[in-house]
Amino acid sequence: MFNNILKIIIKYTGIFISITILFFIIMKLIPENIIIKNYGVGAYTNLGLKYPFFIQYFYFLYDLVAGNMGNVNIKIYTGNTFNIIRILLPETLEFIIISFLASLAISYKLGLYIGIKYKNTNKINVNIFPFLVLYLITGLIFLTIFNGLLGILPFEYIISSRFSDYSWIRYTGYGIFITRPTDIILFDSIINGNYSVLISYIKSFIMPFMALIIPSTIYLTMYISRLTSTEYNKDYLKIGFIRGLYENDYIKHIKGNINFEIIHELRPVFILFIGGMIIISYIYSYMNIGEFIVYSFLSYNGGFMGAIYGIFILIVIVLIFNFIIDLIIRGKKYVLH
Amino acid sequence: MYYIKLLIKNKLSLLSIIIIILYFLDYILDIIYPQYLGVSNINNLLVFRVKDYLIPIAPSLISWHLYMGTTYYGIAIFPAILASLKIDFTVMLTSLALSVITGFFLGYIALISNSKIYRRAILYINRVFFDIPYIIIALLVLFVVRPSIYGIIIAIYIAWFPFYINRSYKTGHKNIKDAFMDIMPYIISDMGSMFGLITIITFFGFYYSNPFIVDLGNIMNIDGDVSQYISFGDWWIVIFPLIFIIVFIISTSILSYRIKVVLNDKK
Repeated sequence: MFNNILKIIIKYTGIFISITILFFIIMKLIPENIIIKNYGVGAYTNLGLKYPFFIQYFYFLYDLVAGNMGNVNIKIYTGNTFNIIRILLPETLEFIIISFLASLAISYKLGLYIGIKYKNTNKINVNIFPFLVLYLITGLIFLTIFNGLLGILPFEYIISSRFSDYSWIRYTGYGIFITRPTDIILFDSIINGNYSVLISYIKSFIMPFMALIIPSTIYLTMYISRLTSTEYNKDYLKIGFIRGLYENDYIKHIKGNINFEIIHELRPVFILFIGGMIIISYIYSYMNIGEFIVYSFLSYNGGFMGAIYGIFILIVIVLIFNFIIDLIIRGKKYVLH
Repeated sequence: MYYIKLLIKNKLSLLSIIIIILYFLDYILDIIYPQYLGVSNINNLLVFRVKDYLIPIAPSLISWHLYMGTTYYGIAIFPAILASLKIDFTVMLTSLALSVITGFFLGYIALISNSKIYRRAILYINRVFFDIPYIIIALLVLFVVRPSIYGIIIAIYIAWFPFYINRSYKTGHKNIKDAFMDIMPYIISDMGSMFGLITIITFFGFYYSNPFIVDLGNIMNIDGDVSQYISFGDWWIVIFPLIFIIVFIISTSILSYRIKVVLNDKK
């Protein structure tokens, strides 16, 4: 048990270092004057640019881990990179956690139901990669229907900018709101007892939330229903039915046997989900790291530090998720049915 | 030939093949005879302007150009969508070819190589790429190489070839022909995935030399000017381009799945 955990820790430490090396290489491929311009004051000293490449990497690694990533100057924000990421991170985490758990819960129930009801093992086993574009499709279709045609849901910004007068809300422009005490509008509106902000937030949340959960829910439902059907048609269950197995018992057996494979599949689904979050946040101007990354990339003269640090944070989230998955399955061999 | 016969026996895969062929025919026409769209060249979305005013016009049956209405700047959507394949398919096919060639051979060499160090190194690098969403890698590379048609090709190629290392290695076939046949379904479905990724990248607005580039993502964005019209209820400006892309992606996914089934049946 302890050895397994140690192996997983070593594995992820290696991956983490490799990713930071990759980032460093990318940074070195960009002209130094652009990097200095992007970083702002103190670039030469903080990034150790006077030292050889090898030493520079350690400066870069330290800056990345310590959040010492200079400044950004992009359409939606101008200021310190670490500060803006600190503002956006709680909202990003909340959005990811709520949406991913909802997607997982819906697809699990739906997948089991479809798998048991139709018992068809010949279900389409599709590649996960094309699903990324589904985020663009769901995002734009919901926007067109619920905002454009029906006019029932707002699409821009996380809450209406008219709430910037409240003492616990600070509006910095372009849809970025700083709220107190938690920096998560959902919680802060409840803590401060302001339900008009809460309702505005929920209205703005519905479309990005639906657009984000649908692609991963479709993929996971197809995957789980296929696993369930395959399990349902196995000999041990057929024998069980002959012996009068109750419905609750066979569902329990099916769940027990497919859970391991579902957990294993969650890794690529979560990576896809993070990619989808970037697309959805951009479409809806929804305040989080995803939107911030796109705007950072769009600004060559002022966005690199924001982009690299935003991506670093998202990758750390992916690595933590993968780490938890690995801990759950504890390095057991994955067996294909 | 044997596989093709098996494929066309299935109605769904036959339909997918027909749709994919139609897209490719349109692509070839875009290159060799753009005059079929009523223009002499398709280097700029503005050549599809049918009206002088900016506000989009709803679809109408007055002229075939207006079947899908117009978008911002009075650009007719139907011919613009048909013309978009010139750039999108060129980028998609080039990135796909580069990814398959590089990834397949690196993976295949890892499979047949006696060098444990090479095998481990290549699979480890591959693993690192797998922990980063491919859209992020593409955006990072695009930032370095600067947005242009070549930039997008390089970005997608670098984001994608690690998948082929993994796929080629996982086939386990030491016979190169068998190994290649096993990755065939992925090549087909990746045509759809890459088309989607190109659309996403250009939808974000990653170009600087030509804000009127004839590309599907750009038709839905045009320098960020389209979104205001979506909120006014002008549904046609995004729905038709989305249908155009989703039909291709579904067709490639179905064909990819059917090829996989045919290959498995043969085994």
